[in-house]
Amino acid sequence: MHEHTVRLKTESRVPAFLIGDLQSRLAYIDEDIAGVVVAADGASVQLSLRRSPDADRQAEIQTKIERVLQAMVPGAVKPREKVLEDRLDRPLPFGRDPMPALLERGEVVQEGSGIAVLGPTMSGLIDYFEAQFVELARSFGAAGYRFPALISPGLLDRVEYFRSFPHSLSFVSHMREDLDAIERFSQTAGCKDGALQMDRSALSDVAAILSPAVCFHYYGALSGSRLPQGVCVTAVGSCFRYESSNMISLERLWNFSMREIIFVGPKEFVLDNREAARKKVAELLEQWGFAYRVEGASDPFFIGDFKKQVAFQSAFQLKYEIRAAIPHRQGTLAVGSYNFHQDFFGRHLDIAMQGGAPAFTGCVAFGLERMAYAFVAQYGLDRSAWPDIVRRGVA
Amino acid sequence: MGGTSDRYRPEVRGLIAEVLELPVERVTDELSFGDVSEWDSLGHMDLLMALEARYGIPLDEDLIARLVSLPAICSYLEERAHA
Repeated sequence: MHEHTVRLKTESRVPAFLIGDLQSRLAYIDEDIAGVVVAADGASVQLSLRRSPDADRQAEIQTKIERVLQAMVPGAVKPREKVLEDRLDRPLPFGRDPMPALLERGEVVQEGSGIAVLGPTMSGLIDYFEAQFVELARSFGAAGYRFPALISPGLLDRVEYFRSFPHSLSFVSHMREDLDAIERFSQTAGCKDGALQMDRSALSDVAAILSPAVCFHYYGALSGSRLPQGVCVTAVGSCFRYESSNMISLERLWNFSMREIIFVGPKEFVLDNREAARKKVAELLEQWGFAYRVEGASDPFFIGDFKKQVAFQSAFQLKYEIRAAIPHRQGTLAVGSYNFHQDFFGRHLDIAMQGGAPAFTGCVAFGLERMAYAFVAQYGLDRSAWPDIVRRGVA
Repeated sequence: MGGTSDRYRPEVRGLIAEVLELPVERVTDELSFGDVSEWDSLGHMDLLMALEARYGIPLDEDLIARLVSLPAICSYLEERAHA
């Protein structure tokens, strides 16, 4: 599809610490936007558009951009850099983009935008990392859980997900129980440009959402509980976050897998375990030879509450990300995170300790496709260049 | 809580009540972040922004993490007045 490039000046300069966040949010503001680059000086935005815009359309898009800027920029608090571990200087044997080789060897097959099939080497890496994370979880006495890919809209509503992350939701519908509608669909439905063409009135209301995280299921299951002591569980699950035109390579998938170790209990129990887990994960990353760093981060809030939530998370050090080096683009990619939610879920879902105090929650999460992708970005697909422990561990 | 920060207490209590949309009698002397559902993360940031607007308190991470109760806000204002 031919794309049209438009460069728009911003009314006020975007500070450097907001450029990445702004760029990812702008992907959602108009269906004609296929790509966004905010200039390094923060003074302009370059858009790739699916259709050539006339003057009115261009003005409309510019107005939306200014709305986003107004919501995100004035009064934004610059986060203080908080680095807990830094191994980004580790020498690495590979520096090329791994995607061409992954595609050529059938290790990655892109079934759709943000939807990837993984082959034996990538699956082997994921299985290997996963097994180590499960062992790590067991060292905390974590009980194993299985959670569904679907999540109840009611649960997400109770934890204010719609307000904070509306842009990344993936809704589940089905055919209405209607003979005529079903027959009409079976006779007329088809795909065009990767999208299903159908009469949308045949669809039911949204009764389920594709789960954007693993731990919500556990907090939902604990709703109404009074806990005698802190608990730790672990689960792996499919997660779904729609990333619009930000979905590229294996870095941002719509559907990905996450292993989580979840802590619920008194504040010190959660914080101490989060910290203990971080130290154990550091040992694993060292063994696997990852170049990475652990730094303060925030969740990808949409523009409404972005400024406030990001400043709050950063000030209270609620989230740290494990960011693995991606050498070919001289950047990093979040492959895991250490999260502390304070008593947010305890209060919103009525989870308390036996004494009546709201329970605190936290989790350690690993994005499995990203772990495997970062590893091959650092070490390539030639196993002879891999660290011994990984080569031996991957079937 | 006694001491010199008492002089700021009535107006800070009023500000907290106004920003968090609470009846002033629910703003107790020791009220802290999380004690009432209205003083959550968003309420806290609204309060910090109101403090910035009224007293010129800079909105930085240290103060966001520090000004988490009525006494903490009053003490900070007192400290600043004597700085």
